[in-house]
Amino acid sequence: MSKSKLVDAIDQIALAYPEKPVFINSSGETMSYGELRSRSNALAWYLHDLQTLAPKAPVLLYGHKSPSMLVCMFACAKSGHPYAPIDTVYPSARIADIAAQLEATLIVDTTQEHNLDWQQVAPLAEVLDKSRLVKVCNQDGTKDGDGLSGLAPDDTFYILFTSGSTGTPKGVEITSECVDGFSRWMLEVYRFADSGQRVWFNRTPYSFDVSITDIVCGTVLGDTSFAFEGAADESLAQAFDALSHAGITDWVSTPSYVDQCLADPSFNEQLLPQLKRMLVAGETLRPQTVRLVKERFPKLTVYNGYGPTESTDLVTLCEISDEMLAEDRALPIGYPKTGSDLVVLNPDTLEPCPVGTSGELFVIGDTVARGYWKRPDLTEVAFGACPQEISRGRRSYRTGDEVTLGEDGLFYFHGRLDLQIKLHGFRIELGDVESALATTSEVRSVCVLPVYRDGSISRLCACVIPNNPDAKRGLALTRTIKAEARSILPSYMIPSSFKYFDEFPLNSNGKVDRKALSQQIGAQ
Amino acid sequence: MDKSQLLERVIELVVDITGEDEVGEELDIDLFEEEILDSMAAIELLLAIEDAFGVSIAPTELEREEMNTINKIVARIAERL
Repeated sequence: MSKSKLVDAIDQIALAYPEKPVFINSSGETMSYGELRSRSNALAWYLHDLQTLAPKAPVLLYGHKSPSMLVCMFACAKSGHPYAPIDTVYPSARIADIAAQLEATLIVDTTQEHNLDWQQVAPLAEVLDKSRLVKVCNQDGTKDGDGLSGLAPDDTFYILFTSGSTGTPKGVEITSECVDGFSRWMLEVYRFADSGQRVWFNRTPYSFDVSITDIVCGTVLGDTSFAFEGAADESLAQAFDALSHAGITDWVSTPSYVDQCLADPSFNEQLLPQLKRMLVAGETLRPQTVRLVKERFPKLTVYNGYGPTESTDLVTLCEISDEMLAEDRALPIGYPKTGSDLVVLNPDTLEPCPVGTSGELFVIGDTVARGYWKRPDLTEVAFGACPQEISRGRRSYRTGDEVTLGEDGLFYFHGRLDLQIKLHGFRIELGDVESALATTSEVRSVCVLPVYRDGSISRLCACVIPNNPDAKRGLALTRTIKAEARSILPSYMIPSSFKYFDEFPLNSNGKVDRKALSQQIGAQ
Repeated sequence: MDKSQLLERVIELVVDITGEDEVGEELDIDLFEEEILDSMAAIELLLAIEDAFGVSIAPTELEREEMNTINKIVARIAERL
């Protein structure tokens, strides 16, 4: 059988240290390596024997941060199925869209509450709910994983759905080889960090790829992952309480979440005395954030990372040194990972840019995704754009990110070349939000703009031409539109403010002049 | 500062942070449920309150439901003035 190296490594750890905890959460749920192994074997055999699930067919995993999610991921890999993790933040219409794109025949609902009406969301799929899942995973006398089909290097390990510019989420297909390439690099980075017991803070929902860092690092190194479940997600006081009890050594989150925590003076070394390393990724890291972190945690090592979902989470990483902070300029996003070539090309001519000149980043190498699930059109544009003489037959991805390679060998991020943005670490296509709002009954035309505060995006503003020109424009109208939007968009994609217009300024092509509109609303 | 001045100033702060000009129209709507405030904006608001009124409220001091409407925010400040 062909096997994922990651899954194999974790099974080896389970055989050597079956009692060691692999996952704990703030609701008090814990799971050992041995349990992860036996439960995922049992579930993998169940999936293997399931008549309605075709070989290699994707499985939709719905839930938040319960140990079952991890079991399901590994069970899918062992039985040769890709999984698509869908967090509970997603509204039902978006999940329905994703289930339809996947043509999902099996959904595993790991939530206790069963809030979703699957009959309506995915009428064609069979649903394995939490209570049946627990039964399947804990049956006695399960065979071990030998004899299961597993994943070949080029088989899809997971499919992550990300915001699409036309309003339809697109599924990034990450192969088993990608995951192994990423694990290999993370092992290099962390192998010598220290030999003590490590506990990783698994902050990011599984639908977002920063979570792969904690899944991979927390397991392949034989460590423990800690996640919030329930109230700790919403309440900072409970979050701090849970974190201090968990004995976190390794932090992974977006810079925004770090900023939120830093706003409270009790976020310091006394709260988290074991914290040794902090890795942030997902959006621009500001020097002020790191300075404050170092003030509160003088012994902490801070890493900045960068990478698109399309290349397995991270492709650059570096430690933020005191020298970097002393210079009054943007922080680097890091050195390229081993196994990847990062090239900077002129976005128009696709000619290489010299060192020190900004251009578009192309990622080439072993962690680049296969493409977008069943979207050859989008795949060709993003994964087929790199000139052959540069990619030389390896997989490549055009990021749309503007970067510079510095004389120091470090990469620096400048921004996007299109309408994709990061809001508090969430990747959002403005076109996605616009398409959704345009389907609501009160909106004739809409343009969604990012609003900046202190140089970074703090929120979204929707500029709307109402369907009914005589409609009273105010909070009541905004609330009506938002209420409708809530069934199509996750809340982080709903603009905080709405402004109403009779017409939009147009540029010479007859398109909405976003720059002029931004100036009108004072967004820049 | 009397109650109405305080209210006016709080509305100004929320408008400034959220961009929602009409937020003063309804003082009891849940600002989180209506996607007017998110957790980042709530923290910006606490910092702005400190600047404007000299009232320092740590984010861990208050749960969401204690400051999710304009009226509740005003009450939390008034308690501390």
